[in-house]
Amino acid sequence: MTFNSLQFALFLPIVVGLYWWKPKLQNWLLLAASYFFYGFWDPRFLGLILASTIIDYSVARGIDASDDDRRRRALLMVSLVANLGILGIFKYFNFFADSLDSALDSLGAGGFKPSLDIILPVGISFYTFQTMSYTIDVYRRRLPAEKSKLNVAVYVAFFPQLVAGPIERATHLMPQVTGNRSYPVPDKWVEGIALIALGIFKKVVLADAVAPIVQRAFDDPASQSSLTLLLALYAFAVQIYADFSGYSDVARGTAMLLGFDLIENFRQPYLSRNITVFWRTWHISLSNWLRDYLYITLGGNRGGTAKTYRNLFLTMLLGGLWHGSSWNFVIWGALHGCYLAFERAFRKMDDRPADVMPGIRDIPNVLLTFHLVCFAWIFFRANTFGQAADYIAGFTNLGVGFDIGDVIIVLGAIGVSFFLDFAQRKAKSHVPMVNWRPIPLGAALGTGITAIILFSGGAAVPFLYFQF
Amino acid sequence: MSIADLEPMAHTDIDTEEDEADANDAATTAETTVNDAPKGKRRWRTVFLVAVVMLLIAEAGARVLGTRLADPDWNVPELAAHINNVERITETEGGEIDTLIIGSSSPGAGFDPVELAEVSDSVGIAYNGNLFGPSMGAIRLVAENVLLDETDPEVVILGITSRALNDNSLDQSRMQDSLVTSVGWRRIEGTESSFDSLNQQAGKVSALVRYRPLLRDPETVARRLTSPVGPPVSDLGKLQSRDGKEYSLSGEHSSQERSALDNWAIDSEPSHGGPSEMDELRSLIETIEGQGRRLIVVEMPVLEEPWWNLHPKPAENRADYEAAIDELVADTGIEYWDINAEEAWTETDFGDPNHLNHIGAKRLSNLMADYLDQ
Repeated sequence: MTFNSLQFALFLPIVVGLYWWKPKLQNWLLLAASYFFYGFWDPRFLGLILASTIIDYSVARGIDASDDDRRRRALLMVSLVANLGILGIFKYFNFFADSLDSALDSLGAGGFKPSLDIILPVGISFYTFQTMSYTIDVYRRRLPAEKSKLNVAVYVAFFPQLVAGPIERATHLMPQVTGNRSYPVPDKWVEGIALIALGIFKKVVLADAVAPIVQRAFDDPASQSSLTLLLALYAFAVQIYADFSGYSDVARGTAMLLGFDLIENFRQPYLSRNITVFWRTWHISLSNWLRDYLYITLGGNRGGTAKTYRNLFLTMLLGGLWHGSSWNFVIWGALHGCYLAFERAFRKMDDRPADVMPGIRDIPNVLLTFHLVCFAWIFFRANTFGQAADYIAGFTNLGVGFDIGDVIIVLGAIGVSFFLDFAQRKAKSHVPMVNWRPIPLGAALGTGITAIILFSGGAAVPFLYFQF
Repeated sequence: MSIADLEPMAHTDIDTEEDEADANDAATTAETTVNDAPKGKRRWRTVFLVAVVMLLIAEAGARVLGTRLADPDWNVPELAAHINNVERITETEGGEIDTLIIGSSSPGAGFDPVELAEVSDSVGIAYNGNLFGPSMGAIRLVAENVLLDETDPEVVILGITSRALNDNSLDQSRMQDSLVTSVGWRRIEGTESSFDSLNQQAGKVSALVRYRPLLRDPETVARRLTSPVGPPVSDLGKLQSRDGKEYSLSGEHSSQERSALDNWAIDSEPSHGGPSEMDELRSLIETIEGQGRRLIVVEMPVLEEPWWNLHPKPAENRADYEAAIDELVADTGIEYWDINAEEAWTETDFGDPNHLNHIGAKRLSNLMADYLDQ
């Protein structure tokens, strides 16, 4: 089930109504709703979630009960191997098999191709990382193992963020699952509903409106003018941001209506004045996960300059690969790794907080950062390396041909997206509009609903991050 | 609206009683919120009132614009016009359609049903059921699922050109995708979803809902607003936009040429009279003849330019196309008339290289009438 579907519009009020009607059954209801939400897509893959839950429940209990470091480490390895094994088989097996086959083929020893005919389960990368965070945090003694199987199952499958994050940390979400949730105060209801509405607006009006323009340009970059390619690249920057942050907004808003508080996943990343700040404001839950469980585990910046750069680069490379089983994602991660390493080596330290409003002097840096990010998006969006290369080569087609309708849509989407970012950054709130005066707020609400009506209809377009 | 209006209320001057309620920001305690609830309610009443006014303005705008827009249930507006026309002729006016013309916009502009009926003793009532920029697959789908059943003609004239038989044409394949994904097509096939039905009901109440597929495309809106209002075809289906035009290579035509050249690069061995579109043509022939109707396949008049402009290897591509048609005629024994080769056509007959103007249409319709009367 997707957030931008009629089914979800019926599902959410029913779940929220029952949830506050029978507070004692809240976790049972959450589990049933979460499994229904996920199983609506394909019930067969509920087995994988259940397997992860059982493994991590048992392993965490074993780790918590033991004082023997070797046994604790062995149990942790069981969890990591099982979770990464499931992820590896379903997401990466064919990729590595194909890559090995190509490598052998180039050496004249082809013919190795044991590919598996499997579907990638929706959200597998998200819930695998989330459930791994639980066992790792128990191992690190940051959290006691949870005794209730129900609570662990809810933690793993919590439907608002199950398929596309934010990737919650056990230390943040588990206490909310196990504790009592209080009925949200009116302001929380308003904020939750506003977040859901804003998320749907971003998805339906911004992301889906520019999607066909992006699709056309990437399908056949060789026959597009450089101006069209540039326009489509900006359009993709808006599309992926509006699509993914829109999902996070709906997830956070939905959780808020259930008395939960999920972490922020985006903080106006395109206003970043350098790549380091970009990664502090883009997909924050993944960046934090990679920092805490991978970068720091590798040694972080404690082993000297060379090791720091190695760790930074490896973290970004694996972060790229997390997104999908394709060399393009590896290149995307590597590019960001290079940006970060270059920045660390040559730029002056900027100690200002990540979410400070950029000043006039920051504009060149904001623009440079945005364009570096856009360049990397080419590899992220292209289906193959060849397509990405064609896209980049297409910038030499110095024609100025473009479709005026596309220009209006893309500039409109960019304008609205930046307006929202500025308003959010200025008010330090994801839904600054709820505090506007009644008339501007009513006008924005009316315009937003009109835009959602105009741009909706037809089959719901899945969120981009579902594929990861 | 000024920037100050968008400031959070906590940062602005509070000068009205209503504004006091607005000053409750996220940090306000639940108790305070409960105490200020009536003021909060007033605030939200104003918000919803303004929002409703905005929606009503949008709805009124959609109703005004909607009078100039095509039927949104069809991504192929000429098909909606054909369905309405045929229903009117066969049901309301009690008429029968004896001769049906099918094909792309070339026969759409080239065959004048009024002229045909006036000149010929055997044509009876003719209807031109052409589509704009279709593949042969789209022509077959529409003929088999809509036009043949609805009109039940004795004679079918199928006008063909190389474009509809090009396996490589992205424009043609997009048109077909657009046709089969439209709500109207799902209705014809009986595969309408519950969402379609819900949408249709909502569309009866709201023009904003009904016309949204068209309203969200600024270019379509601008084009519709700046072009004359009216159906895309005449009451008898004839494409009228080329009538009264002297020969010119329009911007639209130039863009089609560019598109055809670009598409050429997609397949390393493209062919005109390509296998899949030729299969569609064979299937259509089988259907029409299987229904016991007389079918005449007419090679439509085109100027030389399309061959030279649309195809990178004109001579070779033309030979491919002609060979494919020869093979089809030999295999099926179909009644095939190459009026393009038999008659001398000049620029005075054309509105553009692929479409006859009213002079050419009159000439072609007279030749066709003579042919049918023989």
